[in-house]
Amino acid sequence: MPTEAYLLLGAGLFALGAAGVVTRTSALSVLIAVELMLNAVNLTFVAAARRYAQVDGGVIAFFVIAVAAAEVAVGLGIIIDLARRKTSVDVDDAADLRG
Amino acid sequence: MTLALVVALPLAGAIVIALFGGRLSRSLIGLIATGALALAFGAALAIAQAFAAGKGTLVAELGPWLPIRGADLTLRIDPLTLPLVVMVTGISALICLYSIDYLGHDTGAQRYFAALDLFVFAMLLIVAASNLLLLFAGWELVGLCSYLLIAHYRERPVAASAGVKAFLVNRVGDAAFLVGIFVIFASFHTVALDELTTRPPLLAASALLLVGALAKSAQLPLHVWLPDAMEGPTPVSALIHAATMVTAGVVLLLRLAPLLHGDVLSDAAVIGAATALFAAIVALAQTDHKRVLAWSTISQIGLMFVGAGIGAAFAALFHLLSHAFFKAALFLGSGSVMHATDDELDMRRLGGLARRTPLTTLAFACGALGLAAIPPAAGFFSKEQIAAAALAHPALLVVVLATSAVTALYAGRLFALVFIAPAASEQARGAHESPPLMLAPLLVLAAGALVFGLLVSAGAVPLGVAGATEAPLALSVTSAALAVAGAALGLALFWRGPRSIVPLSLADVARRGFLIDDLYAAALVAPFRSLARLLDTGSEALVVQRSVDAVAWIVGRGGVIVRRAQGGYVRVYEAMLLAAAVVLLAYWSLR
Amino acid sequence: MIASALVALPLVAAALCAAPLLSRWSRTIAAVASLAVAVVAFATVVVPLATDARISWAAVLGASYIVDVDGVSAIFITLGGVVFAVGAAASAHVPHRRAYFALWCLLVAAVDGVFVARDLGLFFVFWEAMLVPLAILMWQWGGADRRGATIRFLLYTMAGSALLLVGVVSVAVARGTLDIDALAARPVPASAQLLPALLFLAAFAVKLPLFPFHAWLPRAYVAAPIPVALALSGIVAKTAVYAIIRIGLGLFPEGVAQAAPALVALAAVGTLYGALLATRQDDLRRLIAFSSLSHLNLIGLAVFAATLTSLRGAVVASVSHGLVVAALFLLAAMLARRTSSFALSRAGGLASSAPVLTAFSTLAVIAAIGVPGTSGFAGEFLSLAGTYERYPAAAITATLVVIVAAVYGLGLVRRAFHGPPLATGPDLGWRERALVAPLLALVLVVGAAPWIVTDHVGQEIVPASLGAR
Repeated sequence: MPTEAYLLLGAGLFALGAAGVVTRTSALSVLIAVELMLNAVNLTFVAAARRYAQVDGGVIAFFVIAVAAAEVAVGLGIIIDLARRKTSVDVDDAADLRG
Repeated sequence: MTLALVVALPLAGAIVIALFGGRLSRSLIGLIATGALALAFGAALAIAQAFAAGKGTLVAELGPWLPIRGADLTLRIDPLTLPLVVMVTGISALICLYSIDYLGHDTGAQRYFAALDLFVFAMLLIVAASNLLLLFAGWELVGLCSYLLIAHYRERPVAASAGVKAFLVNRVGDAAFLVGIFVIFASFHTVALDELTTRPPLLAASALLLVGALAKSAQLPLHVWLPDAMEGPTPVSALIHAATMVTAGVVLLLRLAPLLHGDVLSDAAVIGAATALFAAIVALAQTDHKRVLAWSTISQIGLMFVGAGIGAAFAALFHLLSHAFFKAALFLGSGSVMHATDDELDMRRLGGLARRTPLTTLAFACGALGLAAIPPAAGFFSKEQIAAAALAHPALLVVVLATSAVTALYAGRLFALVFIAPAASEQARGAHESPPLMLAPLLVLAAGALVFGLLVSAGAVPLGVAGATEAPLALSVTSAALAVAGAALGLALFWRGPRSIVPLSLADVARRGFLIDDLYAAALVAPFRSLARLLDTGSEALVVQRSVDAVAWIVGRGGVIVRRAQGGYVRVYEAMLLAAAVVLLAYWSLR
Repeated sequence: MIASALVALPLVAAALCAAPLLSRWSRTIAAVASLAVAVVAFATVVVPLATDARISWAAVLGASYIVDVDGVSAIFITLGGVVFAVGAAASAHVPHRRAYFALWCLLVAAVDGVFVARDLGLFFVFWEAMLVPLAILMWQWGGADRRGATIRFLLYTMAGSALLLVGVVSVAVARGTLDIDALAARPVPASAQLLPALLFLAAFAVKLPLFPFHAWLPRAYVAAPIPVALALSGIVAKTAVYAIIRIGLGLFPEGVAQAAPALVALAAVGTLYGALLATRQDDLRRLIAFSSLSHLNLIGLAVFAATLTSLRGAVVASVSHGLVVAALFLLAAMLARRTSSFALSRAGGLASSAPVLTAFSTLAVIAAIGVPGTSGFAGEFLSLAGTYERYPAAAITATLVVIVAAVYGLGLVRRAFHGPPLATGPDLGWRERALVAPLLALVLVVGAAPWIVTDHVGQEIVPASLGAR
C-alpha cells in the first residue's frame, strides 16, 4: 500500500475528530473525538516511520499513546467533577470563563 | 588678612546671632551686631592707613569656590573701592547702634540683627569681590536681606508683600545679570575681573548688566519696589538707601566700567537723568515723610548714574558717599520723628517738632541741607561735580540742574511740614526727644552730611580716584542759587502747613508715581497670573493628564472589543484553533 | 568589593528589619544602614580603594555581574544614603513597621544597585527592582488617592521600562556584551546611535520626569507617604540623571547629541512650566511636586547640553535638589501636623507661634530658589552657564525660572508664615530640628564649597566625541 493511503486515512480521521470536537456538546463525545485526532496523528507518524525506515515516528507514537492515556485519565476526572457540579456533561454549560 | 576680616566679621556676627541669639537678650544681640560692624570698620580704617602709606591694592585669597576659571573666594580692594568699604562698614555700624533702642521692644530682634549683619556682608562682597560670580553672590544676597528686613513686621500682610515685591523686582535684574555673566563666560571663559578688564566690552553683556544695575538701584523702569520698601523698620530704610543696597548699581557701573560698552554707559546716563527728574517730581507730591525720602533716593541715584554713565567716576563716587551721609541722617531722623510721634508718617498730621525735638531737628536739618545741596553741605560739592562733568552734555546738564531745583524744593517742603508748620495732631503735640543711643549716631551722621563735602574738596579725605574737576564759577553760582531758591520756596510755601498748589487729581497721580505700579499690575502681573492659570487648568489638566487617561481609555476599549471573542465555549475556541491552523497551513503551502 | 557591599549592606538590613525579634529597632536599623551606605560611598572618593567586582553569569545573554563605584556614582550614593536615612528617621509611627522598613531597605539596595551596576542587564534588574518596594510602599502606606496614583506611576514607568528592555536586548544582540565600560570604550558608529539612545532615554525621561512625561508626578507625590515622596523625589529621580549621564552619554553620545536640540527645548520649557504651575498650587505637596519638576528639568537640560560645566552643574544640582526637597517635604509634614492640612490656605501667620519652623522653611525655600551661598545657586549657575555655551536660547529661557521660582518660593513663605496669625502651633521640637537641621547644614556646606562635589566629576564624564570644553 502506498504511504499516501495511510496519510489520507490519517487526515480523514483527524478531520472527523476535529469536526467532532467542534460540533458535539457532550464532554464524553468531545473526549472520544480528541482520542480520534490523536490516533490519526499516530497513524501518520507510524506511516512516516515505515516510509523512511526510521524508528523516530514509532517512538513519538508511543509517547502520544502514553500522553493520550494520561489525558483520558485527567479528562475523565474533570468530566466527573463537572457532572457533579453542573449535573450535566454538556461542555456548553461550562462557559464560566466568559471574558 | 585684614581684608578678609572686614568681610568676615559681619558674616560671623550674623552667624553667631542666628545660631545663639535665641538665648541672648535683645540689647546683647544688638551689641554683638554693632560690635562686629564696628570691628569691621576698624579693620577698614587700618586698610585705609596702609593705602595712605602707598599700598596699591590688597588681595585676599580664601580658597576655591565654583569650578569655573576665576570663580574663587578671592577678595580684592583698590583705591576706588576702599572709600566704599569704609563708608559701608562705618555707616552701617552707626545704623546698627541706632537700631538697638529703636527695636527695644521688638520680639524679632534676633532675626533683625542677623539679617542686618548679613546685609553688610553682602554689600561688602559686591564692593570687594574679585570676580563677577562673587559679586553676583553679594548682589543676590543683598536682595535676600532686603526681603528679610522689609518683611520684618511679619504679621503685617503689606510688609510681607512689599518684601516679596522688592525681591521679585530685584530678581528680574538678577536674571538679566546672570545671562550677562553667561555671555561673558561663554566668550572669555573666565569671570575674574582683572582678566576681563583687558578684553573688549561686549554690547549684549553690558546691556544685561545694566538691567541688573537698574533693578538694584531702583532706576526707571524697575524702580517700583523701593517706595514700598518703606514697610520695613526705618533703620532698614536708612541702611538700604544709604549704605548697602541701592547704591550697588552705581558701584557696579563704577567697578565694571572697563567691561561696559560705551553705548550702554551713555544709556545709563540718560536713564539716570530721566529717573532723577521723574522721581524728584514724584517726591514733591508725597504726603508720607519716609516716602519723600524714598523717592529722593531714586532721584539721587539717578544723578549718580549720570555721573557714572558719562565717565565721571570721581563725581559719582563722591555723590554716592555724601548721599550716604545725608540720606542716613535723614532716615534716622525720620525714624526719630516716628519714635517721637507714635509712628506717625503723614506729614499733614505732623508739624512743630522743631521746638519739641531740637536735636532731631538739628540732625534732620543737616541732612536736608545735604539733600538740597545748599553750600557748604556735602551734597552741594558732589552735585556740583556731577554738573561739572555734565557740561559736555547740555541736555543732561539741564536735567541735572532742574532736578537740583526740584530736590531743594521738596527738601524745603519736607522740613517745613514736619518741623516748622503748626502741629496738626495730638501725636505731633505730644512729641518727645529720642533716647541718647539713637541720637548719638544720628548726630554723627548729620555732622558727616555737613562737613564731608568740604573735607573732600579741601583734599583732607582722599577718595582714591582722580578726576575732580574744577567747576566753573558760573556753574557753582547757578547751582547754589537754584538750590537756595528751591529750598526757600519750599519753606515759604509750606511753613504754615500743608496746602494744595496743583489740582488734587494731578497731585494724586504724581503721588502714586504716575501710576507705573498700576500699569505693571495690569500689563505684567495680570498676564503672568493668567498664563499660570491657563497652564494649570489648560495644558496640565487637559493635555498632560488627559493624554495619559486617553491612552488608558484606548487600551480599556480595546480590551472590551477583544474580550467578546472569549465567549467561554470550549467548542468555539477549538474551532478558532482549527481555523487558525488551516489559515497558517494554507499560507505556508501556497507561499 | 565595596561596590557589592553597598548593595549587600541594605539587603542585610532588610532581613534584620523583617526579623520579629528586632521589630522595635527596625527604624533605627534602616536609618543606620542608609547612613552607613552614605559614609562608605563617600569614603570611596576620599580614600582610594578597590571598589569593583566582576562575576560572569548568564553568559549566553552576554550579561555578567559587574559593579563599580566612581566619583559620580559615589556622590549619588552618598546623597541617597543621606536622603534615605532622613526618610527612615522621619517614618515614625508607621503601621506594620517590619514590612515597611524591610521594603525601605530593599529600596535602598535597589537604588544603590542602579548606581553601581556596570552591566546593562544588571542595571535593568536593579532599575526594575526599584519599582517593587516603591509601589508597595505607596500602595500600602499612602494617602487618600494611593491606589490610583500607584497604578498610574507603575504603568507609566513600566511603559518606559519596556522600551528600556528593548534597548538592552538590542544592545545584547548587536554587540554580544552588556559590559557598560567595554561598550563605552567602543561606541557604535554615530549613524546607528539615535535609535538605541531614544529607547534608553524614554525610560529615563519618564523617571526623571522630563516635561511632558510627568503626568504621574503630582499624584504620586501627593498620595505617597511623606518619607516615600521624599525618597522618590530626592533620590529615585536622580537615578534617571545618573542613567542619562552613564548610559545615555556614555554609550550613545552621538545619539543623544542628535536628539539634544529637541530634548533641550523640552527641558527648558519644562523648567519654566513646572515653576509656573507651582505658583498656582495650594497643596504644599503639589507645590513641591511642581517645583521639583522645574528643578529636575533644569538638571535634565544641563545633562543634555553635555558640557563639563553643565554636567558638573547637573550633579551639584542633583545633590542640592535631593537635600532641599527632603527638607521641604519634612517641613511640609511638620506644618501639616500643626494645621492638620497640607493646604496653604489653611495656614497663615505661623511665624509668630513657630519661629524656628519659619526660619527653617525660609532657609529651605531660599536654597530651592537658588540664592548664592546655598547649594541651589551652585547647581543652578553651573547648569545654566554650561548650557549657555551650547544652547544659549534654551539657557536664557530656563534662566527666567529665577524670577518665577521667587514667586512660588516666597509666595509659600508669605502664605504660610506671614500675615496675621490665623494658624498657630507649637514650634519645632528637638527631634524635628535634628531631622531638618543636618540637611540645611549640608545645603549651606555644599553652597559654600561646591568643589566637595565637583572635584569628583572629572573631564571623563564628557563624551570624548562631543569635545572638551
